[in-house]
Amino acid sequence: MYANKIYSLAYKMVNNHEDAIDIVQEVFLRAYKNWDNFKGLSKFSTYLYRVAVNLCYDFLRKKKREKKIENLNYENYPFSSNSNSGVEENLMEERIIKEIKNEIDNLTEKQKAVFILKTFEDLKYEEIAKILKKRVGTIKATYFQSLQKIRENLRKKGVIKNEM
Amino acid sequence: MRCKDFEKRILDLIDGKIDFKEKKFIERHIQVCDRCKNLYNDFVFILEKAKGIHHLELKEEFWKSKLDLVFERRIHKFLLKPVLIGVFLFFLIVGPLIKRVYFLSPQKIPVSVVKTDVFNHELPFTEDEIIKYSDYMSEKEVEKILDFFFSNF
Repeated sequence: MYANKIYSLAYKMVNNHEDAIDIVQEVFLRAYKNWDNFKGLSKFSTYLYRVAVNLCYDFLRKKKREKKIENLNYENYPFSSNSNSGVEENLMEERIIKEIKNEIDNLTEKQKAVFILKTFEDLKYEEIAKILKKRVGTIKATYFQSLQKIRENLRKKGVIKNEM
Repeated sequence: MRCKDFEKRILDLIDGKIDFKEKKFIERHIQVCDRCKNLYNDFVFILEKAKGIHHLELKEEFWKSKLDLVFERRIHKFLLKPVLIGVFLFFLIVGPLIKRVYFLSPQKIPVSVVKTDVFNHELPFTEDEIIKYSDYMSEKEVEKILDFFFSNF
C-alpha cells in the first residue's frame, strides 16, 4: 500500500508520527487534486514520492523557522504487529542504532531524502533521480557524502573505531 | 586502482552491481589499502545498522479511515462550490421565466376587466394582444377566460 511507504519516508524525514500522518494525507490530497496533471510519464509511486519529499522539505524548513520541539507519542496509534521487530536488540546495538538515527536527522534535507530513499525504501539511483529531479551522478555523490558524514560523526562519538 | 577510483565504485560494490573482473581489482586494492578497507567496512556497518532503525507501519484500516475522511471532506468542499454556483445560475436564468409565468400573467388580464368588457361587447385587447398575453397565462387560465367569453356571448 502506498500510504505506508509514504508514511515511512515522511516519518524518517520529519521524525514525528503526527506530522508524518499529516504529510501522507497531504500527499494523497495533492495527488487527487492534480490527478489530471499526472501524465503517466513516471511511475505513480515516483510521483507520490516526489510530492512527499517536497512536502517534507517544506515541513522541515517551516520547522526550522519555528524551532518547535515536539515529543513523540506513539501509544495512541494502531501499529501493526510487526512494528516492534528488532526491539530485542542488546543495549550496545540499540545505542549504535540510536546514534545512526541521530546522524541521519543531522543530514541536510537533500542528503536525508537521498539516504532514506536509497537505504530504507530500496530505490534505485535512477528512481531517486527522477523523484528529486537530479542527475544520477548527483544522487550517487549525495549518498556517498551522507554516508561519509554519518561515518565521520560516528567516529567522533566513538561508535566507529576504524582509522579514516 | 587508486583510492579515488575505489570511492567512485564503493556504492556499486555495496549494492553488488560490479562485475567479477572489477570486483577482483577492488579486492586487491582493499587488501593493500587500509583506508579504503575501513571505508568499505564502515559503510557496510552503517547501512546494516540503519536497517535496524525502528520501522513503524500502520494498519491498512487506519489509512483507509484516515484517507477516506480526508477525501470525503475534500469532495464536500469541491462539490459545495459548484452546487452553490449552479443553484445561483439556475435562479438567475430560470427566475425571470418563473416570474413571468407565475406572477405577471394573471395580473395582466384581470378577469374582472375581461368580464366587464365582454358585457359591453368590447374586448380590452386586440387579437394580437390576446395572443401575446395568453403566452403568459397557463392553459387553464386561458380556458377559463375563453369559457367565460363564450358563455356570455
